[in-house]
Amino acid sequence: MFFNSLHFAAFLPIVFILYWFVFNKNKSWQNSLLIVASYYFYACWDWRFLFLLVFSTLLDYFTGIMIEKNETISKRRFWFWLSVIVNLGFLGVFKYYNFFVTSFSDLLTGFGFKVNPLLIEVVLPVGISFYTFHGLSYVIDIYYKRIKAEYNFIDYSLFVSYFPLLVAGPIERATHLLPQVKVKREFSFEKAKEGVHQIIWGLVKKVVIADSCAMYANEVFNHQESMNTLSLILGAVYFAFQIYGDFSGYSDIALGTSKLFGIDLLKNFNFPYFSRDIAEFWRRWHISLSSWFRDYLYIPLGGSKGGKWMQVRNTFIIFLVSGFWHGANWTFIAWGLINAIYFLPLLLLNKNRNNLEDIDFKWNGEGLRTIINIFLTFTITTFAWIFFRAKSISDAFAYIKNMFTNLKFDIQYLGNERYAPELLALVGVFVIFEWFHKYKNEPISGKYENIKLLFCIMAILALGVFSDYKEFIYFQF
Amino acid sequence: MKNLVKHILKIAVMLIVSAYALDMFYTNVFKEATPRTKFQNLRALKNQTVDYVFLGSSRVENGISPEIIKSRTGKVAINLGFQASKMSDIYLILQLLDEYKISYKKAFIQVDYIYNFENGFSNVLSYEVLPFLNENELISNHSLLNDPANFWRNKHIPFYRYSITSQKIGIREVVMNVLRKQTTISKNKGFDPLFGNYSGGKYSLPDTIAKKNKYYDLIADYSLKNKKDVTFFIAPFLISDNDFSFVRKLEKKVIGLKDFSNALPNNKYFQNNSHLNNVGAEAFTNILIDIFKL
Repeated sequence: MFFNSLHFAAFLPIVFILYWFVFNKNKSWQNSLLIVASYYFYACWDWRFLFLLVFSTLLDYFTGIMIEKNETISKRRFWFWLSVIVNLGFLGVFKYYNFFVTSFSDLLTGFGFKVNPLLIEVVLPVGISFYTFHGLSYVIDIYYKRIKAEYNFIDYSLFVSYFPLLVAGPIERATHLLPQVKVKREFSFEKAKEGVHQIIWGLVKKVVIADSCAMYANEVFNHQESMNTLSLILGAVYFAFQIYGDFSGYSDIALGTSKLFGIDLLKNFNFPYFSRDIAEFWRRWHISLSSWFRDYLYIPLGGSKGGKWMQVRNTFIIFLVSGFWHGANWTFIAWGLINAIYFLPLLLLNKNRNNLEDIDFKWNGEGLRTIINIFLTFTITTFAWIFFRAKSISDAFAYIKNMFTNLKFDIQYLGNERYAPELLALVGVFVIFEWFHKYKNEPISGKYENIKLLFCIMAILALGVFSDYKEFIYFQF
Repeated sequence: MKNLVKHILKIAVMLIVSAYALDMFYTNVFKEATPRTKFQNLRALKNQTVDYVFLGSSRVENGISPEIIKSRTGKVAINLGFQASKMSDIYLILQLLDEYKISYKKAFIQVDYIYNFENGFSNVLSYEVLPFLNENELISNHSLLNDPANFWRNKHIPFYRYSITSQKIGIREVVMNVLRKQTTISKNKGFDPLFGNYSGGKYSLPDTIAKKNKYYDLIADYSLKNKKDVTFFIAPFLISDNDFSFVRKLEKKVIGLKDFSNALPNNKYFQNNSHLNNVGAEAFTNILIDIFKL
């Protein structure tokens, strides 16, 4: 059940009405309804993996309690590692087993050994990377005594399986979400209205921006050998907007949906393409994952406390792991590595925390510098996306090579009766619109609300891509 | 909660009004603009008289030039070949000629391996007729058969038909219509020449022929009943195995079939093995003029 499907358009109002009019007696009723709705939502993908979700919930619920109950370090450690190993074990088997086996087999073949690797044919359970990290953060926080274990199984189950965040995040923290599910939610018109607007804006990002860009990016990446320099540059730019519109659009719909039930989720995107350096980009892109790696990997590894060498090592580790988290392919690892390399000069020059404050743009020399920095950051980020999007490392290198060798700059016809200049204009309007609303959760509320609503509705209808139905990119992770 | 319900109702009203407004706007643009698509071309001929109409698939669209007929004979011809047309599509066009009161002296209908595809439809015609879905029963019935899953939504949900075919009849095509940008098809009376030569690969006609084609029978009955002067013909191919036995089988099914399948046995006339290029189209049009004394 996609957020941009008619199925979801029917599912959401039904759950909403039941939630506020039938199951509104107390928080247990509210939570029970949301769990049933969430399990139904997940079962719509593949009901067999519901068992995996329930098992993961039971595992972390039980190990969390056992860690808290046991005083001795060895026993706490036992339950902690049991949870970590089983959680990562599932992730490893479903997501990474085939990758490791084929990579190892390729390596042995390189040394002249003949190997027939035993591969497993299994569909990756949707959202496994998200709910595994979700559960892991909970167990780690209990182990380090940052939070108390949750004894109410219904509340805990909802924390893990809450449908707006179940399949593609944001990756929530127990400290943020659990307190909200432990109290009865009261209806707030302002919050619900903001939620509705955020859903509509998320749909604009998804069906108007991401899916339109996807049509072009796919054409360019799939026929890169016949594309000229301009098309290849535009293809990378379109993919940059595709992935942003797709994932941040999804996050907006998730956050907006959750607000309808009176629950706030963590903000996942903060206008990342307006970042002035790569460090700022990573504070604004997929924030819930970046902060997860910061808190549960970078800091435990020593973070910024050690010497420069330690910081460099830790930075490379989190970027490589972050890349690998996205998928079992060398392309994602390369993407992580490139971002680590981008980050390195800022780290060595102690400039990685230079742009912490919001952009205060003025039409002067400083303003021009800001624009140039934003443009440069976007350019290098887009370059890295080539590796993320390519099917293999060699495809990525071929793409870059063609970019520098097919030196023609005429507009190419890309198929499907669509042409690049029109899309470029659309993306340009989108960027300007985002720029003028960059301090808001959603751009619709406020002045000229009705006009903006009408504008969004018209855009979805007239400019949205419905013919080439697309799922959300991050569902595969 | 009352405020939220009001707000959602407001959004719903905006959505419905926008969908209706856009639907009306798009439909009117497609109805009133200078024709760009083959189907708009056909509609633009309402209440007019032409001498010859050529019906068929892309093998007609790319292979017969009304301009050459005009220049050589002074007669008005119109090319109504639609890409990927099947007999069902040809039957629709034949009926629409009468529905739109377009009179003609003679109709030429291309039949070949499309005889084998009784249940097929042209994907091009299917979206070109969508703006006119509510115009008459013929188009409506054709759309129902062509896309039963979306038929009800296409017909009754405002703007749905434009949303799901946005790459073909979406905003871009509307803007082009408003700007009155002409297409090759509209400039050439339905003829769309192909250029270049990529023929020569392995290509053969089907081994077997369908027992019957319901739409061929309907076309034959319709022509007889309405006293239409219809000639069926098979356009040129470049067959690598030189096996034309399918044509012999087709001749037994299609009464009076005029066979041009091997009329241009040379690579230079073909863009690919089943489509003539601009040189081939000129040669084939001249053959038709001479053979049929147009």
